[in-house]
Order: sequence, then C-alpha cells, then structure tokens
Amino acid sequence: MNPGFEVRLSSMRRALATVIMPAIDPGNPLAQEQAGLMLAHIGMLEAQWDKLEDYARLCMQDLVEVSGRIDAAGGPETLAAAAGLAALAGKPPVRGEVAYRALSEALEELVRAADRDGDAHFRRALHREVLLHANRQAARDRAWFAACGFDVNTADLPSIEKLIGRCDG
Amino acid sequence: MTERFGGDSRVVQLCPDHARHRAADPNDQDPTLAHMLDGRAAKLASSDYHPVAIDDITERLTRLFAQNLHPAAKVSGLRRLAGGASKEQFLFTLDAPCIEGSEQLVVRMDPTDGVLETSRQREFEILEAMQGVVPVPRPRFLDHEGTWLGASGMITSFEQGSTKPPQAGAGVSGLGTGFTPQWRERLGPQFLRLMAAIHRFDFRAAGLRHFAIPDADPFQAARQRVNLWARVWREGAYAPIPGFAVVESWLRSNLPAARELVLVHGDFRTGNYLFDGDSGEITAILDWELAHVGDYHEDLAWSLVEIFGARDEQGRYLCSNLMTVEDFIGGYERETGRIVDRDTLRFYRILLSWSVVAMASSGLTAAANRHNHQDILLTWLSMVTHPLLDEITRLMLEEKAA
Repeated sequence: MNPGFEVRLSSMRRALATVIMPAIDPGNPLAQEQAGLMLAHIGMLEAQWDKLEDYARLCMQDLVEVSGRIDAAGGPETLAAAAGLAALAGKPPVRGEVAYRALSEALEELVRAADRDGDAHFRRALHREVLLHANRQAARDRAWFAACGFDVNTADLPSIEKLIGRCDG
Repeated sequence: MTERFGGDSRVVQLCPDHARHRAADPNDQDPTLAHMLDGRAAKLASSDYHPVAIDDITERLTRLFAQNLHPAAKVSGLRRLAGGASKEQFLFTLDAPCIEGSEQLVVRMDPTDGVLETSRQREFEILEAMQGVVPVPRPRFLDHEGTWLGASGMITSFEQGSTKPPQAGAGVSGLGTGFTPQWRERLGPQFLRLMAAIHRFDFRAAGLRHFAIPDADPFQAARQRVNLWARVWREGAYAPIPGFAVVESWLRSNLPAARELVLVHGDFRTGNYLFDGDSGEITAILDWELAHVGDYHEDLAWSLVEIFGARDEQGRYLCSNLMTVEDFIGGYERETGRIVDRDTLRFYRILLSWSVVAMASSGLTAAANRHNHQDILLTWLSMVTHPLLDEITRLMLEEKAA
C-alpha cells in the first residue's frame, strides 16, 4: 500500500491550515505570509499533479509543430541555426522538460541568428510564427496557473480539464 | 511597414531595420546598474542563503548606533516585516540620549540574490532628494558596503499607513489590492498628483551623484533600459522563452526618442504607497530602488502593466486598480501639461512587461539556487510570467497604436 500524491498533498494542506498556521506568532507577518503561500502552492499542486503529463504533451506538440514548419532563408548563421532546430524537432522527445527546453533554446537561437543574417522576408515570417506561438503558450499557461490570481483577464480562460481535453471538466 | 499573414487576422509591426538595430548599442548601460549586475555574477556561486537571525541583526544594529550615534544607543523590539519581493526587512525601536523619546526605524538589507540587483546607495540618495517633494521615509543610515549589517543595507524612518484599506484583501507584493469606488476616488487624484510631482523634480539641479543622465542622444534613455532588461533576462532567465528574442529585436528596432527626461520612480503602483486608513491621505511613497532618470512614459507604462491593476464592479480594467486607462492618461496630461505619445507608451508597456518577467525569472533562479529568504514568494511571483507574456504578445500583435 502506497500513499498517493492526492492523499499526501491533502494531508499537508490540512495540517498546515488547521494546526500549523494557527500556531504561528501573529507578530511574525513574514512567517504568516510564507505559510499562506505554502497553502496556496499545495492547493495548485493538488489540481495539477495528475494532469501534468497531458499538459506537457500539449505544450510540446505545439512547439514541435511550429519548429517543424519553419523554412529558413538567409546567411550561414541562420541556416545553421535552422538545421539545429530541425534536427531537434524531428526527434521524438526523450524527457519532456529537457526536450522542451532544448527546442525552445534552438528556436530562440534561430531568431537571434535571423536578426544577424536572415533574409528580411523570412525574418518577418519567423517573428510572426514565434510571437503567435508565444501567445498560444501564454494562453495555456494562464489556464494552468490561473489559481495564482495574477491574471486580470480570466473571463475566457478554460478550466485545466478543458485545456487538456478531459471531458469531466 | 506592416504585414498581414497566414489565417490570422491580426497585424504585426515587425520590420527590424538593420541600421537602427546596430545603432542600438548593447553595451550602452547605466554605469551604476551595470556595476550592480557585474556584482551579481560573482554571487551566483554562493552557498545557500539563510535568513538573518533576530539576535544577530539586533547586535549589529546596536553596535552600529553605539559607534555612529551615541554609545548608550539601544535597539529593541526588532521584528521581521513581510512585503518587499526579495529584501530582508525589519522594524525596530531605537532609544538614545541624543534623540527625543524613541524612534521606530526600518532596516532593509540585501540577501544573496533576488529579483534584481539594485543599489542601496542610490535608493538612499533619492530618498534624501525627495524630502519635501513627495512624502517618503526619512533616510537615516546607509551601510552600502555591509560593514555594520553584514550585507548592503540602509535604515529609514518607519512611516505610518497601510497599503490597503481596512478589511480589504490584497495579494503578495500589493498585487490585487481591493479598493471600493470611494477609495479609488480618494486615492486616484493623489496618485496622479504625486507622480506629476516626482516628474517635476529638477534632477539636474539636485546633482544626484549616483544617477546617470541618459542624454547623449535622444534614444539613449530607451536604449539603456532595453540593455538593462535584456541583460537581466539573459543572466537570470530560469528557462528560455523564444518569444522574448523577438521582443528584444523589436524593442531595439523601435527605440523612441525621449521628449523630456524626468526622474522616474520606476515602481509607481498600488502596493508601493502607504495611506491613512481614516483620511485616505497618502503618507509615503515606498520602494525607490528602481528610480532613475528617463522618459516620463516609463512611469505611465509601469502603472499600466495589467497585473498591477484590477477590474472594477462593471468589469472595466483599472490601472493600479484606481482609474481607467483613459482617465489615467488624460489626468496625467492635464496635471503636467505633457503630451502622452501612444506609440512611445506602447513601446514602454512592452519593455516593462518584459522587465517584470525578467525580474520574476531572476527571482525564480534565485529560489532554485536557494539564494533568498523568500524562495516560496519568489516561486509564487514567477507565475506573473504568463499574463505578462499574453499582454506583451497582444501589444505586439495589435495594430500600430493610433
């Protein structure tokens, strides 16, 4: 019998909320603030932990698609950066987070290379693709992290369940 | 030049002009800030940061005042303060024969790393200069080198007031402060008047020693800010975001000429001023560590960063949760007689939203390196990235500002 993430996280949240926080010195606002943040982090983790794989796959899929449809034109720096990106985008990701980071770095490098010797038309098209991707990724991340409360435009954000295509949301 | 593309109906203003791109010299940096960032690199190899112990800081403060104020000076009642995205802050009481009664003071110190390296020397100097201009804490002692405090720090007066109305809610760092319409009516006009007063301050006559004036050419003010935030992003990014390479390219290609240089507060928003819970009078403007000489559009754009605002009862967006964007810009123009250029404002909105992400990402890196006493706060604050990235991309994808 192994205690799963769900029960471990909910146990931590209850201990924090019902025992630990009431015992914190009211004259220590820093400790109070940090305990409150712990509670909020745990609440978000409870909502996310069993959906992380689906969410990461969704993000990766979009980045691979964007990277795969880039048709570079320009000088040697642009072409070399584009070849590096294409090689990464063509590989099946071994570890999601590492692959996502490597692909993001390669795409960033292509933007910088295109600024140095990219064909003007290609550069504009690349900027457009990368910005639109950033906008889509921001929309996904805003839904994923909506519970943090920083977003003032939450009216149209989907639930996490809807975002990852689970119909129970 | 604009280009319409793909199946998307939005229009992008993206046309890097290589000549201007080269003119945007990436090495042109504010010397004080460049020096601070140089220092950050050296700190990155440091071991874990541990919060300062109450007994230790009490002892250090006692020694400081005994040797610099009066041998019988006594420090008591020291306690930690929350707030401040990454500084160690304590409130304490000072008693000494040479002061009348006792005095409540605040000490503010740097941990190993946080959202941004800033200069206590510069913050201290601007607090001195602002006395009588706008309400600010009185600077009392500067320990720039950390000789007494063990880390660079400064001591100021403790000012009465609150960052939120009684019984109102607020998130970390003053974000999401809840105001009723009545509070907005009381605070909004003061907010504008105080910003205008800061922008009227004669920084040239003040002879500020640690503030560079970016007037080598009309583009220097914008160029140095782009260079600053590009460096903060480059050196502190927790994870790559390819869109920011496009943002940086666009900013370098679209530097606005400064119409007029002013003293910019740099963090002028709800959460960074105190007010009296009864009268509603603003009693102190806080957090001057980002102050610099620059384009007046910067403070306006900062106040318009969406995460610093909120929606009112009718769902309208209010900047700093005080007033609509139109009322804010119109009010500033009436208060100062200056013209707000919408293209320049858009440039600074994009730059400053990016700057908040750069700071948030540096904070997350500091937390990952265990270089701060508020790792959990810095981790939480990093979640501002996504609405900001959305705001930046919307601004860049929208039609050229009318």
